[in-house]
Amino acid sequence: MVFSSLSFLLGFMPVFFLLYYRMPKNGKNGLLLIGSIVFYGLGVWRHPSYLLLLLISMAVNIRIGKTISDKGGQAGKRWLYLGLIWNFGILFLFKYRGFFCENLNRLLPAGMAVLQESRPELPPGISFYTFQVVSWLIDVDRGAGYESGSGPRIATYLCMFPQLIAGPIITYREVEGALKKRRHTLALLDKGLREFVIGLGMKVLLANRVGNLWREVGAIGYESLSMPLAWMGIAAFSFQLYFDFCGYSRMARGLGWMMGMEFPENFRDPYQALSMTDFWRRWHITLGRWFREYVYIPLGGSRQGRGKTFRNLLIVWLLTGIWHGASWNYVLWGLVLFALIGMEKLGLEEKLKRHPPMGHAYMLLAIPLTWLVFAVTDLSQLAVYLKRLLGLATGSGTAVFGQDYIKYGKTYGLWLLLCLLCCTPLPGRLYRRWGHTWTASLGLLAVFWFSVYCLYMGLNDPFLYFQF
Amino acid sequence: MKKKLYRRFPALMIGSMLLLSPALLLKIGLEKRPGAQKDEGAYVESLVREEGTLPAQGGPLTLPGASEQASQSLSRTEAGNDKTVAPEAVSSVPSLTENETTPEETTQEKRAPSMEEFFSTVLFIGDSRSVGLYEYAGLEGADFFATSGMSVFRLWEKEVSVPGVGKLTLEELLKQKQYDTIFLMTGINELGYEHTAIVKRYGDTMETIQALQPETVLYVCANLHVTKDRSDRDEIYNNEQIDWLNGEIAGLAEESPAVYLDVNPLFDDEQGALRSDYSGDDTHPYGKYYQEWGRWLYETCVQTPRPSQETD
Repeated sequence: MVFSSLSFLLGFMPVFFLLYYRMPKNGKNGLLLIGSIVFYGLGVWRHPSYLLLLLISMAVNIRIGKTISDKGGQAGKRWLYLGLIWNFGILFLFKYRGFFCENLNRLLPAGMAVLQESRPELPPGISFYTFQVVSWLIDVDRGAGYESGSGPRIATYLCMFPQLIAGPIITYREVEGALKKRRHTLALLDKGLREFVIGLGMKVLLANRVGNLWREVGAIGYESLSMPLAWMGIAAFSFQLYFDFCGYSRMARGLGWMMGMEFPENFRDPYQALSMTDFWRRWHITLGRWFREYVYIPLGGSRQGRGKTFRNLLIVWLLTGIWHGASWNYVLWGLVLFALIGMEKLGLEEKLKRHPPMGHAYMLLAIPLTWLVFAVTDLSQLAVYLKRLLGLATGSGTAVFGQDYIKYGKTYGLWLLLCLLCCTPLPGRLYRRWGHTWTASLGLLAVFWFSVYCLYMGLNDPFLYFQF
Repeated sequence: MKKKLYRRFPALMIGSMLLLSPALLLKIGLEKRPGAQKDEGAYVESLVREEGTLPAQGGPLTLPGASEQASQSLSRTEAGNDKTVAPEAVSSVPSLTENETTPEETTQEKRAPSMEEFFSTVLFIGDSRSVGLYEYAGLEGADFFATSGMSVFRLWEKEVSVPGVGKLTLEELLKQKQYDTIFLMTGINELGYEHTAIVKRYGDTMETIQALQPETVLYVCANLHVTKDRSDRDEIYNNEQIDWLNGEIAGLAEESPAVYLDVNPLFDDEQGALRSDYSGDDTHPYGKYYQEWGRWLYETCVQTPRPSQETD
């Protein structure tokens, strides 16, 4: 089930919160746990084994976490490794096995390919909940410990529905206090509902709209794009990705507030960044934080000389790329980010910071071009798209409709401009100034119902980030 | 004061939810109940998204006097003539070497128009796939009365910008310009409608076109399949439904002077679905394949005897 579905908005959400607010304080966590299992179960009803996988994984991890805490020292460490193998093993089986086998088979001589290249459908949220549970296991090993009788609380943390399938990736210590005791106020309900509606609007009214342009560009075929349409296409994808994922994160955060919990911020105006380093401090913040805390710093971070710093950066960005998908384009994408961030570390970032217009101009190119590598999984098609961006021919006899950018500009031009405006700090400033007026409240109500209308009319598509 | 402020938006949300949700849920439930009649409104978001209302279902769409003229033109062909053309038919036309060419055939070949000449007297009537032909096939000189989401239910009411002619209705266009050949390429967007209404409206449309342009050769074109992936997951736009509709269109052509053309074998995979490597959205071929389609249309129409030639 996704937040931007009628079944969630008109069914699950009202029923859950009606029960939640009527439930006595000591039963709220239990209801949240059961609600989350129901939420996940409804989403994977075609694959009930995925629900079973989540439940088994949860039980196994709680057991491992408890053992790490009980044993401590080297024995605890061994249990931690076992936990890592268990969690990353499952992730590998579902997400990377097909890719691994495919490439291994290519390396083997003809006729020797014995490994099956099956790519099973990914259990929703597996990349997110794997990282979340691993963060908990490592934290337990690092001394956070396991409080006796906290099993149900940890189970609730591991599968809370607001962040179960697309993050943000929360650490246990961030919500431990709230899971023990939290306040539910009218102010939080108001704040959470507003945040949820803003996120829903970002997803349904902006991401889905401009996403249609990217879909149409794909339907035309990259060979047949005019140069202006090729640029409009990657602009559309860049906006779609941002409003899609940021919208989801804001909905999750809003639901958290409605339940009296504070989830971390996942996006902070990333398209305002002046450098790629700055961009990744603002984009998918909780993923960047995970890699920093559990990979980069344990590897030595930037404190062991330039060579090791670059080695650590390379590892982190390759892993970031691979986390997003099992395909060579994600590896290439990670390498491109490493190259840009590496150059920035060598002094470019300082210059960009000193000259903001230069920084914006640099990011105006770097953001869509890196997203292009991310979006196009077929590397030969990626080369075709890059050629079209430069206006180069991709072969003889290729059909290009020279007026295509005018045609699509008429349909999507205003949406692209609106998206551009919404990437600036202006809407946030206006909201902070006028957010609590009647006009703003009615405006948000209109956003909610218009989103529902669009979903009802079928102008919907799944979240982009669910495939990762 | 603060509390009042915080009460406002939740109150608005809860109030509107209580008011609107039951009605909306009831409507969704009614639409989804087993055996429920497909509602036109629910499928406005059809093959290609386009806002607007759909015309009322059923009801003939014949212009005054159209039926009489159409029935007169029916006599031009013999009943039972196999007028269905598929890519195999084109490939089965033997290619003759220079030495093998007979004098009669040479004369016929000389008479065959070039691609530019042929398409200069052609009109395409259709949906997004016809738009694709206009944009990517390079069919210079042809007119296109086509728009995304077009269906026979809105064909006669909608004003369309025809490049080089202007914005007008189909009836105005057919009264204004004479065409040697007309390709009718709609159908897939109709699949959300009730089946008998689709066939009736399609037949009426054919009659009306033939009544307005009695000298033209009308080719009714099969709807292109969708990919297997889409076909397997789509309850409406799947190949079983498309094949059913194409069969009905072929049947209508059998009973009229029109010729049925089936381009699907050109783009199909071995399972009879649109090749997945030919399409980025599981529905439309990539731009580059429209050239192939246009070329096929030309070869088919020029190399296959026209119905009037067969009966003469």
